[in-house]
Amino acid sequence: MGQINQKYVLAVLLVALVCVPLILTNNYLLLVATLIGIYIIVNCGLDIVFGYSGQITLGQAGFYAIGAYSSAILSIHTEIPVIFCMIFGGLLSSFLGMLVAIPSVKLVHHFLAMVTIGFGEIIRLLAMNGGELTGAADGISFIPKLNLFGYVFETVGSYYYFVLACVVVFLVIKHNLVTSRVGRAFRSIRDDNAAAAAFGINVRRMKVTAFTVEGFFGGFGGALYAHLVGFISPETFALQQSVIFLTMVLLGGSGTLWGPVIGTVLISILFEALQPFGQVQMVVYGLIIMVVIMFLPRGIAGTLNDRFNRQNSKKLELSSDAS
Amino acid sequence: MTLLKVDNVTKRFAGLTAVDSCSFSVEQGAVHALIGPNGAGKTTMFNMIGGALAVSDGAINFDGQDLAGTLPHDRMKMGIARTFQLISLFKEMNVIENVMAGAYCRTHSGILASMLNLPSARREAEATKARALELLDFVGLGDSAGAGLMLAGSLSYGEQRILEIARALAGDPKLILLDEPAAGMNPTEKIRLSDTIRQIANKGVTVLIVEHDMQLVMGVADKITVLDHGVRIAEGLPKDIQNDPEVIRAYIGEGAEQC
Repeated sequence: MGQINQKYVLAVLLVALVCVPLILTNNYLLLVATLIGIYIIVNCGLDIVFGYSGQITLGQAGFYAIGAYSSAILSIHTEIPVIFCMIFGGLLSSFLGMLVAIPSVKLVHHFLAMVTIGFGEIIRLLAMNGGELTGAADGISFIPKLNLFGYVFETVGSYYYFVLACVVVFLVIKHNLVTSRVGRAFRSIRDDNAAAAAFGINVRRMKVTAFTVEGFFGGFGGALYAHLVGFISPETFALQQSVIFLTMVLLGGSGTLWGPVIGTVLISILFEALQPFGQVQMVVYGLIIMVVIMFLPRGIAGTLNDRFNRQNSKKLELSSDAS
Repeated sequence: MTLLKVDNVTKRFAGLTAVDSCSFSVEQGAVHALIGPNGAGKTTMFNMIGGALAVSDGAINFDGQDLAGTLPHDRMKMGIARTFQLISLFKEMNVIENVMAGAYCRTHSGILASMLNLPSARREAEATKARALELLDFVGLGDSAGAGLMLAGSLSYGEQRILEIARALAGDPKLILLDEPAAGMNPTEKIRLSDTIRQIANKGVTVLIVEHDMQLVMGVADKITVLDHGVRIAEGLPKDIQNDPEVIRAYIGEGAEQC
């Protein structure tokens, strides 16, 4: 029963999302909707490391930057089609994620947080001091638009559909991964390191794998961003951006399929609503983190899941009493 | 045939000798119990066999291979699975997934096959799940339909201990190490547990058990090794151990004979 219902809900949701550009004729709002899609992809990657593997990471903006810069540079200086530049951006970010993870997976908690913050900052500083290649503080402009089979995604409305398709693909990949053998290994190192090792799970290798996957999600998201707005500069990829990503995942509920989606949508809308108030935004972020940690430590989706599980076990007790 | 041979093994922690030149052998297919008062070194011995601790001196030989230098995940592949004295289930995963995770080293789906949900990964996942359900049935956790979908952390204490056994069996081990499996169980659960342990041995899986519940140990073990202060003080059949003066002295203290 639950599964059929779920399919209906998903189908309706998808139809509604397809209709969004028909209703939202305001270009700015459509841009926000497209950005939400990109953030969802990035946050799904973050959630694989943070929510499913239990490793703290604050280097998400670094992956985002690697994907954005490498895809932008490649598409400007070579004839390679933009779609391949985007995939390259994801793969490069993934590879660097693996390189960073190999020495740092021995670390846990705040030590790992420091290393990942350092990683993000190094990437930002490289972009800042990259000379002509990265455009230094001025960044890169006139990044070409995506062109697929001769169709150029010139308008935000058309690009929205491309991003929507990517979101669906990445959500399916995430769902497949976390429910698979590898996904169970991720969750087992989160729940109990020693027991995971005793069951033949190579804890360090699993952590490296998680960071590698996160790198691809984050890098591809960054590339999507670069070719959407056509302009990137180092200030987009500051630590603040990593904190925003993490807040989205925390609020929505880490370690769930829909949590990061819910969190990303809510925070993005809030962000837009607070736009006129300038710096107050960060104060609101701080407050959200505090409130979530105190009252909703498992986020919105996690809290709903808990309630559902509790009801389920109550039903089970009742039925076993009856029998 | 000897499956596990512990040969003059010593474990020293900064100044304290937890296990001192201890030797014993576990026969293939037997239920072998390791008993002794608190602090005798039983869990330390378990951790050395499982690979969580390195031996300071001596050698452990399993199935004809020296275990020196192998890590816990290597030993799982070689066929040594264990349960934990402090329950170490994957609490945020459901019951079936816990057992499936136990089969990790016997399955092969890689990251790409998993992400794309390729037919090979799907087939393997289905087979693993079927096997997990079978094992849950075997240990007696398969009764109530839907229980498999409950989070492991929400089971009762006794059920969690049983789930640990099912998870360990999922790796198709040759030797299973049970670390105080009856702790916190009620009498009915203990009877059920003895039965399960016998059935595990009947399937050809060797059992090495550390347990404080003497009634359970005497009923289920083929052979008993007794440790005290890290030293082996006795070994033999349950009925011999029960009457061994050394053992009685270790458990009850000097002067016990006069009672």
